[in-house]
Amino acid sequence: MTQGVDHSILRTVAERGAPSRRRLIRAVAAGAGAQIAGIVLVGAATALLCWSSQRPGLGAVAGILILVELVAFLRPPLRHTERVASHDLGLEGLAGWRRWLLDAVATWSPGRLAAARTGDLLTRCIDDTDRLQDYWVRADVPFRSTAVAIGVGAVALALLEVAAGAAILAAAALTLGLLRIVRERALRCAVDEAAHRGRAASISVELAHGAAALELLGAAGRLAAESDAAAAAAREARRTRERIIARLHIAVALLAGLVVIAAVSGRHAIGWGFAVGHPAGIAGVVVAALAATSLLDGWVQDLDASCDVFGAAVRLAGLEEPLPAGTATAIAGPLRLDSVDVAAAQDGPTLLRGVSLVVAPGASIALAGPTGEGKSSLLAIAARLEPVRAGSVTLAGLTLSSLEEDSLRRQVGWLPAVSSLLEGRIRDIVDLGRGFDDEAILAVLDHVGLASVLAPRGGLDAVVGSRGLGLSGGERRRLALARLLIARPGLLLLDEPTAGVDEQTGAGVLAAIDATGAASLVATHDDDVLRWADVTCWVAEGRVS
Amino acid sequence: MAAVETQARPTARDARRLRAELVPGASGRIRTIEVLDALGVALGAAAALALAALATTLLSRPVPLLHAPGAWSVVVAVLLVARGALGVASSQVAASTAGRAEDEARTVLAAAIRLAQPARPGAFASLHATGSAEIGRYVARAVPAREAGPLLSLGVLVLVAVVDPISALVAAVVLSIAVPVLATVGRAAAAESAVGLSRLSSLTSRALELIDGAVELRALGALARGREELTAATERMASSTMRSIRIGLRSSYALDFLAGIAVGLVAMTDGFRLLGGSMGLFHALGAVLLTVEVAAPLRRAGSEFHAGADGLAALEMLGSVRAPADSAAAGAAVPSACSIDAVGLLVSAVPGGAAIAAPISVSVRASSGLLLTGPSGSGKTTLLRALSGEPLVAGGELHVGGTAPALWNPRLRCDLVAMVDQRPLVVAGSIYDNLVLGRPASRTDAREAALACMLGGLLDRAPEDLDTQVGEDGRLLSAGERVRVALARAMLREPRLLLLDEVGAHLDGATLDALRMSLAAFLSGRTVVEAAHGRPLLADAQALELVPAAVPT
Repeated sequence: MTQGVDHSILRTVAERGAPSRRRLIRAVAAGAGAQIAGIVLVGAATALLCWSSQRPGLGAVAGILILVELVAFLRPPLRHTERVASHDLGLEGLAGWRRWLLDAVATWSPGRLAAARTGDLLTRCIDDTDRLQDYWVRADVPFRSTAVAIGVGAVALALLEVAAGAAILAAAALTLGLLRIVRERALRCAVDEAAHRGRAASISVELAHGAAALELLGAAGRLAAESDAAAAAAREARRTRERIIARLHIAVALLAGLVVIAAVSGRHAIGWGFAVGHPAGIAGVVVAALAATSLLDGWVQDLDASCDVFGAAVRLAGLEEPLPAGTATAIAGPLRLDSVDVAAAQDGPTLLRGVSLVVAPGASIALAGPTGEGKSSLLAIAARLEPVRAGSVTLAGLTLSSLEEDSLRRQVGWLPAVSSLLEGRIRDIVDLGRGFDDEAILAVLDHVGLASVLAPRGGLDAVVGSRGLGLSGGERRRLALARLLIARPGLLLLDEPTAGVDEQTGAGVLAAIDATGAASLVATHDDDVLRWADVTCWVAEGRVS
Repeated sequence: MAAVETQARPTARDARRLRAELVPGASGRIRTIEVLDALGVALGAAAALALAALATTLLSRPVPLLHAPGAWSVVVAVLLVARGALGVASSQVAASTAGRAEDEARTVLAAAIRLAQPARPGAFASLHATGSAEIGRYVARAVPAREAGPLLSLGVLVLVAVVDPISALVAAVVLSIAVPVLATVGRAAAAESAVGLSRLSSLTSRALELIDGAVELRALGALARGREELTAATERMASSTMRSIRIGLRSSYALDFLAGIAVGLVAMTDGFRLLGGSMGLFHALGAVLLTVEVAAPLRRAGSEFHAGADGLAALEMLGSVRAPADSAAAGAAVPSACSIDAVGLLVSAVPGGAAIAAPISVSVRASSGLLLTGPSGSGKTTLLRALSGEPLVAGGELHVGGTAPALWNPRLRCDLVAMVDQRPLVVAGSIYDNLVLGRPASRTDAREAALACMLGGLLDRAPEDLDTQVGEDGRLLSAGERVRVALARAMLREPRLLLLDEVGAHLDGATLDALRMSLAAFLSGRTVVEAAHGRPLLADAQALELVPAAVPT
């Protein structure tokens, strides 16, 4: 699926979690210390016993005895420090990565979001960010601390016993070489696995949202089977990766055996080595050599962990779309479209050509015509959510792309054909953290005719389920409109505001729009809306008239 | 708050029962994994003893066999490779077991979803997508490690006793302190995990909503709120995760500490005994090296258990959402003629809820039409759903062709009824995929149905005709096109009972008129119930006005 594998992605993405340097250093140092302590514990204990068997007298072994006990006490706190620091590093970044993803998705055009698979995005937001935490815990910190431990240990060992030290260094170099060779393939497997999981999750979301309808259609089984197939493909990718890692484990076990053989036969060949030419030292050295090779096995496990994390990082990177970085403040004024071309999707066919129209302040223009002819896309372009392909769009004389984002959003209100409502209380749904008080919220709900409907259910404290569960279609539409109108934008771009609403309530909605005094460009099928608007444009066959 | 979120903790027996019920195939393989792990530990112990022998031969003078150390080093090397190979085999068995468990869990979920629409779709999707994989990991790794761990540690301890009884005693005394500590810690961790899982459900649902509405939030200037929500949900989740992680870390700390002390003490006592000449070097070395290996299975049991805690919580959640065993009982035959009779019928929006509309009484002959009118919220959609077989009858009687819809056999129901919702279901795929969803049909038939439902314009414009992708949830289609696709789909199924919910809402006058003419023949041959706000598809149908239930004062 992927061409080449860009290793730097992992670092880039992980750095977004803004890790604290001090914590990172503390984690690596503690980890290296713990691993060295482990080796020293086993080596020193063996040396102690070997030495004691020579019966030199208590005073002679006292020193190494104290060393053994000291290391036995020191090792657990060092390991604990490493683990705690690594976990903290991971959790630090988690919220940041998720916000980053949300911001990236928000830069998309409605068309791109419509074409995307939500379940896939959900796995990126929840699971891939979760896995990214493991970067610190299982991949980065352990790898570094092992490298430090091997380096320090091997050098120290070489001072005591040349053959053993040299053998470990050689084995470490060979292991690193092998890791480098297989890494690309393993990473690619991880990326494939992540993509399959995303696909399976997308189908899971479809199943979850459409359960009743799918059951009635008799299609639930087929969809579940598709999801299972995607999950099986993910497991297959994982199995391929595990096979690669398994071969590495065996290679490292072989290297470990060779190190032991080399250490023993090397002693005969090279001699006793430097300082400690003591038989006790030899034995301790051999054991330590063995312990060190278990570190090499740890390196292979770190590669495995970094594959998991890499798959996650690839799915989080590069999602943002560039946003126009304007600086001018948007002000109320006429919206003018000059020879604008409208297309359905990023690289789709052009639906409308050379659209030119003006929406004067306070005026209401209706866009009528058969469905699918480009009305929604036109509204999205006017709202600066889709890029302008040809021609220009200006608001109060200023080009849309030169306007600053926040001020533009205050001036222009956009209502898509299908609105997404968050779960929660009515008050929160309408306010959305923008700072409107209860009075204002009640007023706008009254305008759209929802105040009386919601009053018996608890008014502003009424709770609405996910995607507006608990409200009828017309009520959802009006709630979405209320949430838009409360900010009093100067220009309204509405896509089917009266869908699912009966005639009487519809009149109330139109009155509410009038009451705000805003200019409005409305795409609609509703004859009542067409009657209400000042001007009607017929959108069909690639032209607006 | 915590009291509300935690439930009674399951015991190990409950967990075993859940495993046997929900993932039986995978649970059967646990024994195999445990045996392989035991073999691995045995090889590790053998390697430790061989190492002790190697060290002893390095030191003994005179050297009995000139190459004895060499021979022993080869033995050590072979044992290490064997242990590595066994570890690989064990991983592979574990991986396939995990896969089996995941499949079984997904099957259970798929069966559960056929009964009722999940109240929290995001949480369900999360359980289906990742919860099942977590269950796999739990069954294949955490359970074998946890069940066999203590036994394996004991086995190595016995081996130490064979080599040198006194060392074994020292080690046993120190390590026995670990047992009560680990037990307490284990219980605390399990409690935290349940809290974490419910918070994960909230986080998932919330994230799904925010992603769906990201662009709209930006347009409303409310993206900051979205970010805050995501951060808050993440932090709530993180605080419970951190607690359970800290508990796990503390338990490993305790175990590491005690294991280290055990090695140190054994080394010290054996050193003294060696100095005194009351012990041989091989026995001393063997005892110390084996003592290092004693704690390893326990340590692994601890870490795997904490890693698998999420899986256990997911398994419990699976147990709570699964379909009850007797649910397949509803299997009444479906009628052949669909006349509708309702007497004093009360419908509720959710199964077992309060009535939302005033009592309904109506009688409809087979193959005729019924038009439902009434203000929004008066129960039109709910009545349609009750007619389709959902258990939404709160009182009174409802019969279609003599039987109650809620009792119909689910599989046969699909042949009888077709429903076009207000926002009809469209799956990601091509137009053709959606037209034949649930029932195969030839492309010719599909095209005919599409044209009859006024989709000619869409097909002309669509770059790949019937194979054009419609995007997830049909987002690349307009609302009117969606409705017409669902209508064409219903046409292809030739249902005897057709339920329509506001199909005219997104269609302009001209299209609606054309549709009415084109479908007249199709609609006349079957029983049709339509809910409409004044733009009905049915002409000359019996009308029924629904009134919302009186609100108790």
